[in-house]
Amino acid sequence: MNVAVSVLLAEDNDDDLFLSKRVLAKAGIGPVFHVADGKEAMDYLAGRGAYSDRVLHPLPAVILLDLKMPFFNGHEVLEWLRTQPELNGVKVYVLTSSGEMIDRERAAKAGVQGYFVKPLTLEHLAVLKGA
Amino acid sequence: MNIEKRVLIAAPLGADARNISEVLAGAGLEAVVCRDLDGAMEEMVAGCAALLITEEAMSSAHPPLISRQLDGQPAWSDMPVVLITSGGGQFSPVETRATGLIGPRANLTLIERPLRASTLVATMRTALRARHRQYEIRDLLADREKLLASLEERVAERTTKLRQMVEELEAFSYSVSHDLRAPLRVLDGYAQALTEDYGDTLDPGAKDLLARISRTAHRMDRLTQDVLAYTRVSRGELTLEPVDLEPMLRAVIEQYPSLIASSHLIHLRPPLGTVLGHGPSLIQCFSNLLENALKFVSEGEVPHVDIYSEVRGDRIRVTVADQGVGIDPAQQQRIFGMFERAAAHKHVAGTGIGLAIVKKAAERMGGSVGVESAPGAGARFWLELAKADAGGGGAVA
Repeated sequence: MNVAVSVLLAEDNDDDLFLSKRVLAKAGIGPVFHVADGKEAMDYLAGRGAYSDRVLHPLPAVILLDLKMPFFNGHEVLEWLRTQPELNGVKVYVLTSSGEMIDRERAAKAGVQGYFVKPLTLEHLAVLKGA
Repeated sequence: MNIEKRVLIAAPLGADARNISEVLAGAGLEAVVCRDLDGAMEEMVAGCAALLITEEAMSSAHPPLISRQLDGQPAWSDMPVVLITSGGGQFSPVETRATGLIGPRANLTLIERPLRASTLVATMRTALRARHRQYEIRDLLADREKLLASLEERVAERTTKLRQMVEELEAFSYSVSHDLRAPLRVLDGYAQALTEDYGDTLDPGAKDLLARISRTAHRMDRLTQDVLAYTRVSRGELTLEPVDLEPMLRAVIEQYPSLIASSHLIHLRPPLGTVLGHGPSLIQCFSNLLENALKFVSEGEVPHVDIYSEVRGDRIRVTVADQGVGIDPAQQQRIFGMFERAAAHKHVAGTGIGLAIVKKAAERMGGSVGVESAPGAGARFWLELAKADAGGGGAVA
């Protein structure tokens, strides 16, 4: 059963990208777009530079946001998102290897919809299908 | 002139001051003639070895100024004051006043007229020697102050360094939990993907090997987490504060990922009391003890775990009691060591660090751990900590 939920995966690690994409495909969730660091994530969401074509790079319904990324980390992306009211409709889920309380609390304060500790599972995505 | 060695003279009558200072100069003593006693008191602040005053000087003096100046001496100072009295065997009113005013505040000596030069010189020499001793004490005190200040500085420096080390360690732990565990998770992910996507074309031997890869990755991940937990309880900064055991344990049982599924098998027996401990370390201890209590049961047996506590003097002993396989008395001390596991239970998954973490954490909190058990009779692991009384707490380990 395929569900049309456009997802932006912000993930710098190729292995994690492969495994997350695989689970998303299994759950029938898509289309999936990908950015490899915090700066690309911001550019994509703002429709800047290489991502200015909204047909090729549509605004996603959901972001799966890694925390540890080059240039800008996930927390910084979250802070930036709060200053972008036009992106309010995009649902943000953190997808990280960190189960640390400090990261959870910081993400919760930034108002994320959910916090998933890697690996991404079908159970995680069940929550997301309702999005 | 050496200010510290000078004698201040207050002798307002006739040629007294000049005569006295000539006698002192003849003996090699430095003297300064002041206009009156008030003047001498003001001059004293700059420094002097002794005051030499005549009875007549007392009459024009202001007692509040005298008492204020003498009371204002530093702790090491006991100013020698030599008072030349009119003599005659009887205490004059002026003499009585001088004794009452100066006696309690300084090192007062009375000498009577008629004055002999030798008496005066000897008395002043005694006064100067007393003053010299005071200077020595003053210098020693100053040295001590300097030493203490430098010690404090060194302590502050060390503390800063130590705090930096702790912070670095925290950062390291954080980085380890991210970087070291990530490849293991990926390894397991690939093994699982292989099983799921190509399971149909793999024969049972190949599937078994994949399952082994997954298990190994899990074990390595658990080992990483345990080493990290051990590092945290042994090196991190521990602030002890009152911890109410019942809500803390309830939260551990109901929220700890590895315990949720078995939470109905764990029974709290309140009242448990409030101990002086470090919240995160206590959570670590009890989650480890509870995981063990659930794990070490005979094949097919349903675990049953009780948690109760008893007050022992100023301490509280919390016991985690199971009805599992029990531990041979010969092994009971060994199992608290790093990487030690009871030989009979090698088939039960574990890293051999769990109890070492509990022991280290208990020690860091000023507490102790132990076990009472026999094979087949279950195990009662206990953790003993200081009881927190009202207003207690705040100690740093």
